[in-house]
Amino acid sequence: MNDILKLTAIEISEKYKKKELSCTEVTKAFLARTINTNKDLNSFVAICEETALTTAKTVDEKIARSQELKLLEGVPIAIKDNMCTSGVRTTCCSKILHNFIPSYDATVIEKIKNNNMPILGKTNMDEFAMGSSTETSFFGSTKNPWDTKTVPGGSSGGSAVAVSALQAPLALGSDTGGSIRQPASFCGIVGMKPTYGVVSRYGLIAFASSLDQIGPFSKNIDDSAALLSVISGHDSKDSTSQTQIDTNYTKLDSLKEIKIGLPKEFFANLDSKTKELYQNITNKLSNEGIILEETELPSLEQGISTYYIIAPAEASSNLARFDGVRYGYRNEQAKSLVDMMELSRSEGFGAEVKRRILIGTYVLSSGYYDAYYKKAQQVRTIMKNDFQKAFNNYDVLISPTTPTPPFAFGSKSNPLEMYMNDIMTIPANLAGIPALSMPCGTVNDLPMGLHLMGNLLEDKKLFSIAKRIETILGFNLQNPYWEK
Amino acid sequence: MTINKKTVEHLAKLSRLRFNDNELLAFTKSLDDIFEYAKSLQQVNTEGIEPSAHAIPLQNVFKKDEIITYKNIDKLFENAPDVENHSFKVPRILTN
Repeated sequence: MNDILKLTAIEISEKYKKKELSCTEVTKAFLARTINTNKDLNSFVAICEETALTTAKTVDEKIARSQELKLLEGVPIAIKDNMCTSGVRTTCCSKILHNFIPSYDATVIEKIKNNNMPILGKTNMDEFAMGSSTETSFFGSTKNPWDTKTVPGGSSGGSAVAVSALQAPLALGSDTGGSIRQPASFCGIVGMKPTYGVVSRYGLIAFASSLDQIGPFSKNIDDSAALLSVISGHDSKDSTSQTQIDTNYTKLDSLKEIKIGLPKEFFANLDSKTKELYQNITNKLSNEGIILEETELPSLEQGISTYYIIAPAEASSNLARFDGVRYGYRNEQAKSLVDMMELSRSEGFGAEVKRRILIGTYVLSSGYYDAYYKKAQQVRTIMKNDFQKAFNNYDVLISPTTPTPPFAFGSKSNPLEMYMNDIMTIPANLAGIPALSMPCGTVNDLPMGLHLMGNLLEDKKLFSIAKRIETILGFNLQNPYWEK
Repeated sequence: MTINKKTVEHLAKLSRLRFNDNELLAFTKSLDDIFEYAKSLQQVNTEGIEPSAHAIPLQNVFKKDEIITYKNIDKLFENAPDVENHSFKVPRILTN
């Protein structure tokens, strides 16, 4: 095992500044690790060796000239395959986009390239980010390095595994209902969903536009805060982009008094081992002078129902564009236009995507709109209000990230059972608030995450509190796969 | 039962999707499960509550009404399954 792989992103940056490591050396180390382990883990669907090394060379020239490096300049990164990369196939891990090569970069990719971060490749995901296990990917599922018989979570499973298995020091994911935080939890790393609108969605292939948000994966809190500093900022190409954003998350505050709320709805149905883990954690935090109180947010219990109406409604509309006309898969045998569209969509989409298109079409159709879609939007308002009330009293709210540790492949064949996995992560998307998952312990030797939710646009405060907790809990990231 | 086979057939038509009998049956079952579960929403009192389409209030964004010429037209067609004279070619729309 090359020791470079264990370094955090900020440690790598420091070593460039001291000229102790070259960017080519670092990039080659992560590329070699990725190439050697990908057959086993299937976390990458494309590896961009040549372009990564070209970027590395540019950085090494700057280092040789003792030029000042930008934040995270030269630190390699893996990108979820739903963000457009100019000239590099971007598939959403769907057959319908299996041959799609974007003609432009997503805004986040532009920012990554602007800071000369070598892009190692594109990572595996649930098809169109619809899933919690990567099992719906057209390219096959990704394995969890903690136990390859279990799922890595999803939908950003490939990005989480890339960081957890030391294939990349950093990765980008997207989170619509927990797709960054749940895989981060399952893979024992940090994953963060920023406040809605902090990171531009331009060039992110849309799933549910009012919920989608891009965010970082990393080994620790500082690295995620640094990566968010690189990718955040107002973007005129995204009409939902926030205009007033402080994009420097690197200098975290040290807070004198921290008051944390524990929503009792999220602690109600845990098994005894899991309950014990979180009891120990709250005891530890309390011993360090952090104030913890149980609180109630009754609307959280409606999270799954609300989300599985709103997200499919938006998805059914967003995915109407895949019709075999301008890009993507087309059935070549069809004799009429409607036949061509129906056959291309039926052959191009997988079952879970079709299910969500059907749900969305149902709740938006006349006669059901008020009973389902409007109702869900009203409950969304109640949930937002519940959160605002809670944040009048608490700096952050904490809970487990998931009700259970990673589960075995094929064990959740009932869709509703799979949806239940997102019960704790979904409300943050509906309310637009920032949230993150950080590793906090294990149950049955598999990692569990601590989920922190913060108030709107208080992303920096969220990181600051998470960092304090990280120091107290001191989780050891090493998983069995590190020895391979 | 909230969802039946006929409903799913209609939804498939609206969504430009085609299913065989087995698929129809499976989607009917899973959609029915999901909407049975979602019935819990009806218990929430939402009288007088404004619906939220977004998490954060959004304002319309305006830009100048300027023509910007895009020069690389060929590139736009590179992903198209079938092209003719800078147009997307599709099977016949009107039938005899």
